[in-house]
Amino acid sequence: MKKILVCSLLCLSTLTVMAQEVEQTPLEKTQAETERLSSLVDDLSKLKISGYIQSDLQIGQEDASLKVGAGKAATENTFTRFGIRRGRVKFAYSDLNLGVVKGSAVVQLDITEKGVGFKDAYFTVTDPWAGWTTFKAGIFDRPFGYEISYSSSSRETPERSTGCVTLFPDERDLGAMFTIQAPKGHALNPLKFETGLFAGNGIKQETDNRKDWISHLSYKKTYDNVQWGLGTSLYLGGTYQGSAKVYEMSGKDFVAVNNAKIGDYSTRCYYGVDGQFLLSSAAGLTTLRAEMVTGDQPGGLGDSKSPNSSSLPTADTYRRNFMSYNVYLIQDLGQTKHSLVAKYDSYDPNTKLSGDEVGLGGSGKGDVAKHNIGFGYLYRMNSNFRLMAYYDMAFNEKSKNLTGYNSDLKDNIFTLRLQYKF
Amino acid sequence: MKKIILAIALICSIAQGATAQRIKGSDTVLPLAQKEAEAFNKKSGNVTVTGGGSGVGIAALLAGTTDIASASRKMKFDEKLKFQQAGKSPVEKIIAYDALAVVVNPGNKISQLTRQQLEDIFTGKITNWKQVGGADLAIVAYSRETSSGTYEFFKEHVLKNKNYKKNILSMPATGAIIQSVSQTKGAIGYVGLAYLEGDVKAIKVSYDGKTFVAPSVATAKNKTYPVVRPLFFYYDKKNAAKITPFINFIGSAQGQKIVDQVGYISNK
Repeated sequence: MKKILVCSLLCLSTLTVMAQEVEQTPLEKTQAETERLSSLVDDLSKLKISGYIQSDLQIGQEDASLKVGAGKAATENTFTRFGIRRGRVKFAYSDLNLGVVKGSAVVQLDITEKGVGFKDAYFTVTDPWAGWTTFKAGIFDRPFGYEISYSSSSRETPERSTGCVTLFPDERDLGAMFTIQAPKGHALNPLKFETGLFAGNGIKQETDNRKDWISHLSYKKTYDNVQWGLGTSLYLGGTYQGSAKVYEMSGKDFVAVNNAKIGDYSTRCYYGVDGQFLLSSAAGLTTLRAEMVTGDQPGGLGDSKSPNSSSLPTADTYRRNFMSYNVYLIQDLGQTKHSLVAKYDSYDPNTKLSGDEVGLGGSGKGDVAKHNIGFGYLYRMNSNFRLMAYYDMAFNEKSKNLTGYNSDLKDNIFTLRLQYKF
Repeated sequence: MKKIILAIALICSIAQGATAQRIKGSDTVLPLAQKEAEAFNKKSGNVTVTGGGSGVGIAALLAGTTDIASASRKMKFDEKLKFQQAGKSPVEKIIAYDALAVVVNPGNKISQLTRQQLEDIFTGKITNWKQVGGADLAIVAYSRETSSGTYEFFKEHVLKNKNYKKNILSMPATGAIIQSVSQTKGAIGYVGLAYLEGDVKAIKVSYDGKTFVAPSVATAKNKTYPVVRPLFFYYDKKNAAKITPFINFIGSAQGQKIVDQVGYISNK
């Protein structure tokens, strides 16, 4: 029996060898090679690599804090630094051929002379039935307002507004989110609703039990030469209290909150509205964007920044009501590659104090309002290169009762940026 | 000697490359662009023409892989933004007009429909020809692909921006619609006037529910046929010097005569 089995197997293998020896015609070979290459191209096209590098030359007045290079030396007054502000590489993998579930994954790195960090790491899954709902999880932009998700490579100014940077450090957070939007062509497609739960600690690891809820509802309408959009946002969360000393405003003074405990949470709650208007005309593209955010922000005595730390805070907590807004105006110079830019942004961390009241009643540096007016010029050389020159004039609230803020700080910044996008 | 020949060949190829013009985009514009290019090339040009759809042509212009994007719809706002971001200034030229004909199988006794009926058919409200006075036969609706300018124009102007029905049969080219409609009894589709032929039947259309007009060059020119659209060429402003001779040729008496011959509506 064994012999018969061995003989049969031998015969079969011989047949296989004979079958393999049949020569393919040149046409068959070409067809096979084309199929192989086509399959390879299909696989490769699922992965997209993009990014941009922003090399900056910044000149700062003596009190300025530049985004590139080291801080000012004691011997310097006005100081100049050169550096890579952002060096982004994005890997996006999209599996469009699954047929059942459409998924994608994105990883973005930031590579500069200061080191390598990651910016995004998330995946998305779109429901295969109606295509209305997309689930996203990982580290990605918070769904709040418009400025956060507007890419730095497209933005017409070197940095986001002060309020945005203070309330949403690194723009991103760790969380999971649903986006509900009708497919393209559907009457409801202009409406978009994003909602999710986030760690509330920026791109750092999560350090507490509490999750923050962030939502953004937006509407965008496009005509032949006009596009406009409106949005409203909500942030409902809390900030870990690192000590039992928690203060809140009573009249013009900070007073200690009774029964405050370490490990409790102070309310972190923002309300926002945003609007965009774009007009294409013979004068070129005109872009007007505005955003306003107000609410409750817990912070420290010296600043009102949101949490973005790898460990739990240990500092005292100061609860404040804040107000932040910004306006961008960008005007192309006709049908050319040149644009002029103007921006105004304001961030008042404590709306209950102003002027000389800051510095009294337990308040400090963290209560000083800031306003920035900036003017810039953009030259879009081609689809890769863009040149930006921008002068930012920073104004701070003055108070004779706060050391260092008796007058306006000298912290204006000039930025010359050359960007290469790929 | 070899070096001289190579140098001459190189110079010739560069010179040819400098004058060569690539047109890519709308399948509706394709037959017209081909005829115009043939006539132009006989004189001095080196124009090559390919289709793919209006969206494909505009994307190719943005990517710099074509010199002219042909389109049967206007450039969208989001596309304009992409050009602006890339530091490019697209120039728009209307080269001709086209009447969009609604076609059915020649065996179908229906010969006219209102815009509302067309909307209901293509959005899926009307599913049988007997609902519009025809035979008891299921309607098989054909559409172009989403990248097609014709798809978007028909949706915007005939369907009043309502969505096509879910199970609509999307065809990659106008020729495929003609073929499918000619072979399917209950079929209905839409094509550019220049594609009309005996294998399909063009029906009369009414926007007011009273006056039904058949698509033709004459009814399009006298503006009685309601489904008429401009056809466009887009090019980057920086290439204007290179493109202008061909654009001027299309605008000339000879070029516009070709427009009429191909079955489109001339500018003049």
